Amino acid sequence: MSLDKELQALLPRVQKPARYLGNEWNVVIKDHAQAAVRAVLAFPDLYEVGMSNLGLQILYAAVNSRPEMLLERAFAPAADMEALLRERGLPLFALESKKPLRDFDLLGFSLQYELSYTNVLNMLDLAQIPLYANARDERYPLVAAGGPCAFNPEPLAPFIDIFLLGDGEEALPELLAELIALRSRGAGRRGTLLALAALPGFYIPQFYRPLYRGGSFQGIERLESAAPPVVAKRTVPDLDGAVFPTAPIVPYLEVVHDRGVLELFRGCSRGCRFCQAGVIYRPVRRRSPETLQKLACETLQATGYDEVSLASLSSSDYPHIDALISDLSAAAGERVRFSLPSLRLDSFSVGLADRFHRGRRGSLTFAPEAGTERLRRVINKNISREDIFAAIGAAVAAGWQAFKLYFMIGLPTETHDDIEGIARLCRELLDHLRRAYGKKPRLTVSASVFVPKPHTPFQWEPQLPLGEVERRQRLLAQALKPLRGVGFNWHEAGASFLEAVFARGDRRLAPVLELAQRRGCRFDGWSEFFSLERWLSVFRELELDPADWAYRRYTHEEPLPWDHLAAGVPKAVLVREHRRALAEEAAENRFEGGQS
Amino acid sequence: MARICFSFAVTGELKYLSHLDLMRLFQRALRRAALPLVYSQGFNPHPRLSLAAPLPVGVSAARELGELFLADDSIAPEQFLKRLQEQLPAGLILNGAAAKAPGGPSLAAQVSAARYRAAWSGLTPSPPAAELQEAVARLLSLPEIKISHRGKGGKEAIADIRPFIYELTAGMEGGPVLEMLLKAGSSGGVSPYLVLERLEQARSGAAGEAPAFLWNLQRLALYRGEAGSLQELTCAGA
Repeated sequence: MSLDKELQALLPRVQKPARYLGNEWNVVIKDHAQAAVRAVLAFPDLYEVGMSNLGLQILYAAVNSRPEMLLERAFAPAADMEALLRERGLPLFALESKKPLRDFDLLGFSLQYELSYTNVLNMLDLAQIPLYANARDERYPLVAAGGPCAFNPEPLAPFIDIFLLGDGEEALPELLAELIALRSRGAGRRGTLLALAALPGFYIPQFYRPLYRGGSFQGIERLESAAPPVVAKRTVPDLDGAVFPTAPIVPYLEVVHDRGVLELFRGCSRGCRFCQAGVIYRPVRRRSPETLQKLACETLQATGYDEVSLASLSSSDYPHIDALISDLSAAAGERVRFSLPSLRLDSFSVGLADRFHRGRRGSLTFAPEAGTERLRRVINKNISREDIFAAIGAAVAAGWQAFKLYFMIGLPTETHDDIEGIARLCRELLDHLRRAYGKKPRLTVSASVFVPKPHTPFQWEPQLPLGEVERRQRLLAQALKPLRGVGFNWHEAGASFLEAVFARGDRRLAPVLELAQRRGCRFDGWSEFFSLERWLSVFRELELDPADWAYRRYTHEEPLPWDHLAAGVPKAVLVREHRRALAEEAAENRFEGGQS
Repeated sequence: MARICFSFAVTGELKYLSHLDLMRLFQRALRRAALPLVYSQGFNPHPRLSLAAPLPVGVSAARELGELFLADDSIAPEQFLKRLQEQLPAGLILNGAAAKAPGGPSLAAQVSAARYRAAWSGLTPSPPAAELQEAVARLLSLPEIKISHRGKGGKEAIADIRPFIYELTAGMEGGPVLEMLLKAGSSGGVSPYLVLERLEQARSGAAGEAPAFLWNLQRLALYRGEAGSLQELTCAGA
């Protein structure tokens, strides 16, 4: 029986067979025999998560628009499908052709989140491809990875042949063109990697070796002269000229973000000191209103969506955003709704959300991030109590009835007073809304846990120990308890702990990932699958202490495992920003503005 | 305002779509076709489109029915068919369409029964025809077939599905084939999977493989009227 036939027999036995069909609207099916190079984009999470990722749709369009290239998709199979594949010894397959992943020339993983690393290994294992790069020979595809986590991919370094730093819409087709050219010249696996190492944006980890002394990281050594001392990230200079997927694949299933997407701009000028996205997507590059209007019309025509999300890291910062939405709405007709994924905490943004809203005025979401003005100065989120009152007041006056407020627990310099400050802010906000508007909206406080991320001013900061995070979560829950109409959600602290370990990790963590995958760790970002105990037992078995990565305060002087990967902001700027943060000073222009 | 009834077949892998998936698919296809949809009133307007009866996941279909309203009554049914078909994925095939009087009951309110055909999937060795016929006879001879299901308010309830099985026959057409006529619609009904599951129990005495694995199920037609005087529900008759 062919793999396709075998898979047909599995579909009636899984819970959501529509995840595996690969024949959605706008899918691109190409003949393998006609393509000069064949690649798969592998997303290490469920279909519903992966299909909500704009990057995936961009790369799919960028590669498949070239006749000589072919890019298919693969997602992490759900537990029921994984069990059936393993039971029958079937290899993981690409959705479009149902061919095994190991039959492609390149397998590229999207790294959005540290807790998807076990899924990366599990997908390789299901694909019947050796996990370690040095165990793969010419019979196997090259394994690449890109996305935000590629800016410190060291825990995955031994498993991956090529990391791609930065924007992929030009770099991935370029990589594939290079593979075609190298193959025609008869370059083998090693020759191919050597050639790629010389190109900007491609990090070939096997050409570098970390140095350790007495259990501490001492820097990284180059093993090949073709490999640059520092790998620069790729940036697409002009988004107006860049590929945009105006005929994206339209899923049958209801996915996490089940709507069209327009990317207004890339990068962010805000300079929040905890935020990695704010650094790695620099500089700020905007699409023009004319381009956006054209892309919106094409997208709506090709998809039939009735909602388009205006995406970016801070969409209300787009110049003349109100005029843009008016024009888009006029062009798209009254049945199409344009939505903003994140709202800045000011009256302008609230007015914007309200003006273009359709339907019941349900819930608006804001991210004050910290409970006191002092701590907001530390993180460079410069909004005052009055800003917050004015913004939410305006929303309440317009009829909005519920608000979600996002905070972080464990930010640098945080004290118990800052935690109580969250509850204080909520109480005073509710008092203000009652007095000024006679309204009692519902508040939901959502508290995540601070994770120090590479390439940010807080990259040297320790994460708060698990016990202390949980103590502060309880403290906040208690402080919020007397407030009527305030709900509280918090993040699994154990998952954030592991996120911190792998975010700042180095290659000593690779065996941890390998063993964790064998011990059954999967979908660690999903609370129903995550088990801290299982992870801790893996660390114990390998005699490693995860606290060494998550809880240590790194010094400005010591080498960092990601020093050879350039995200765009020089380390000296990050050091100055870190010092200014601790002095509660505003960011310097160089850091804010989304340039450098 | 025009009311249009349309008939369609669901073939191939599209049988794995849920009712909601299919509804989303039609809504998006209709918007791509730029057909002038009529929207419901209220806070959350949605196109006035409905399908006669939800199709269970994994069941293909020969003659399903749907209906919708268009703002512009100058669009002829043939034109509607052509424009919509162009926007549908392979496997979803429109059979026909007809204009309908704006008043009158919805298709969904008229459905009272459905006919299914189950063909042995061939994924496991097939049972002998005699054994299957015997199992059918045994199942039909039962005075009642009790099932427990989640009733109103999520409470566990016991129901007897025997009266919902109007016809059940077994035959051979290259392999085992079953045909069933089952009660369906808003006043209650029974899933064909449930009948196949009970049939498998009657045959082998055990729960056995999932019915969706053993059988390829197809819905052949929908009916209206009372048991005993059922009439096929069609765009012409509805």
